[in-house]
Amino acid sequence: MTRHVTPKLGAYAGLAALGLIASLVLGLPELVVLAAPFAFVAGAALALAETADPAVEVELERERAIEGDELTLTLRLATAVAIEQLDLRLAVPDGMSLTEGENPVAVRVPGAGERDLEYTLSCERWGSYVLGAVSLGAHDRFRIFRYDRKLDFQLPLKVYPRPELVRDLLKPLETQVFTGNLVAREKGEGIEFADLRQFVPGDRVRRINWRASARRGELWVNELHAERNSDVILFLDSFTEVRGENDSTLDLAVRATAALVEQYLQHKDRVGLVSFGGVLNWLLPSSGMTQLYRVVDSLLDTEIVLNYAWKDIDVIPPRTLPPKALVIALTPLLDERAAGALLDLRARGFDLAIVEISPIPFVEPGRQELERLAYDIWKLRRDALRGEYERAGVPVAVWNDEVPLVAALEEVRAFRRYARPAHA
Amino acid sequence: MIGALALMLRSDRLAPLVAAIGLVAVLFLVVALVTRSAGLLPWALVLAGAAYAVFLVIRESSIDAWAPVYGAGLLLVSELSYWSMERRVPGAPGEGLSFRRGTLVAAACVAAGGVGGLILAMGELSVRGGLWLEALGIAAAVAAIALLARLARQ
Repeated sequence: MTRHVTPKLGAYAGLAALGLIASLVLGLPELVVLAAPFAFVAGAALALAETADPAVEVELERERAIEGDELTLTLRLATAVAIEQLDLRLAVPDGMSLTEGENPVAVRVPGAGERDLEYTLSCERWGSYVLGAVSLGAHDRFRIFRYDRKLDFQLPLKVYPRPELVRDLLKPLETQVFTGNLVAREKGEGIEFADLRQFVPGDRVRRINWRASARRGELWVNELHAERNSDVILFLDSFTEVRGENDSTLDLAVRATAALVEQYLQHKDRVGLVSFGGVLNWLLPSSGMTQLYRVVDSLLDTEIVLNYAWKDIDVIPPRTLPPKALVIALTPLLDERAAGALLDLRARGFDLAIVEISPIPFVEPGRQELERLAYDIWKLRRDALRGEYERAGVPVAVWNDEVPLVAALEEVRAFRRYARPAHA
Repeated sequence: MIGALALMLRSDRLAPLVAAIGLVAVLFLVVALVTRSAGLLPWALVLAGAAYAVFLVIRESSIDAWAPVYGAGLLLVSELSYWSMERRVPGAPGEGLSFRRGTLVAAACVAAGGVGGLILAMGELSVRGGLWLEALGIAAAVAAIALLARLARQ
């Protein structure tokens, strides 16, 4: 630890020297008596001072958590020299809070002893965190010296978004070529009945529909729908967000994205991610648990980066948006660039659905008439934009924290049931 | 404040002068505490010592037996002032850090008072010691300051 001399030592030495000199000059022995306590304390402190150098270990209960989880962080102190007072300050990053344990705290560490301090941290917001930054400050008995040290143990912690409940997923209009859980329009190997046709050499006997064959006097076979997977691209608008006290539109979007990714991957679909914002981030579609962790880890790094540069979908690598993929956009519909890019995607024939993360609950209408008018105009403009999407055949479902995500997806599903987009 | 008042009451002559210096010392102390200025605190103590020195000069009588009490009192004021100026870090429950520190300060003041009394007693004994003893005293004072400086450098 780095040793610092406190101003007290200079003051006490100065007072002692002044008292002794004044005593000699004025011939007053009482002034020696007046100076003696300061000299005594300074001398005793200097003679008894021992450099405090505690060994510190920091242990985190686990490296992964979900929003709302509580974790225990243990700080282990060991020292050969007794420390009268050791001030400890644990750096708690934004998005986490301390629920148990004093911070900062002063403790006494006995010589040749160990001391464990436990902190309970609450993960309030998803994200990647680095914990373990600790500031130590020790004093000697007489507070003549101060010992300081800063340690950073760099303990990584990933806090995953709180899962949203998703039951039924949006089905894409068209499927891909790999095996999955979706009943494809194409005929092939599967279990869902599609049609009947005449037997041709090479057909498997088990495919023969004996009832139809008996009725028609010749062999007829069942044709089945193939079971295929789909490509789903989650398009996360990270140009801007509206933040409330506890949540933001981006928080909701990330939670919804994480839930959708998990569900689609469970259905053997290939899932990709495009984080379209100040910083463009993408992941090519893939399937499996590895992809789940890849996408969620990528989501944890999502942040709003202010950028005025114009961006359209041309900046997105073409392989990220495979043909026939279902694109689910999660957007607060606040930035023109994202809104324009979505319309552009639709114009290029992508199967697009928009889950609008409504910023309205985060915005106060204002008290003055002018503020209320501006608020109403802003809402009308949002309605107009929504209408523009709907006219282009893109379903827009409004979702906020008060409505379950399932309801928003159902809204999209209902729209798609009756308004199928036309293909050029 | 109590020290300044006691000095004023005990003064035979020029009591207002002693009281004025004492009052300035108290003012310095208050300002130092309010502004949490550790640099100002020694000046308050110097002024308090100066008030005592003026009291001793105008008193013109035998050695003041209360000197160790004043010395210990000044140390107590100084320690408590530095304590109150420090950044406060709450102690862990059951540590009793404040109690331990308070006990240490009290013990240091009592010990310092004892040392002062011992010095005073030795001074009274050697009041007619002559030039050699005075030279020895000067050498001891210089050696004490040098020892402090050496320890501080370590």
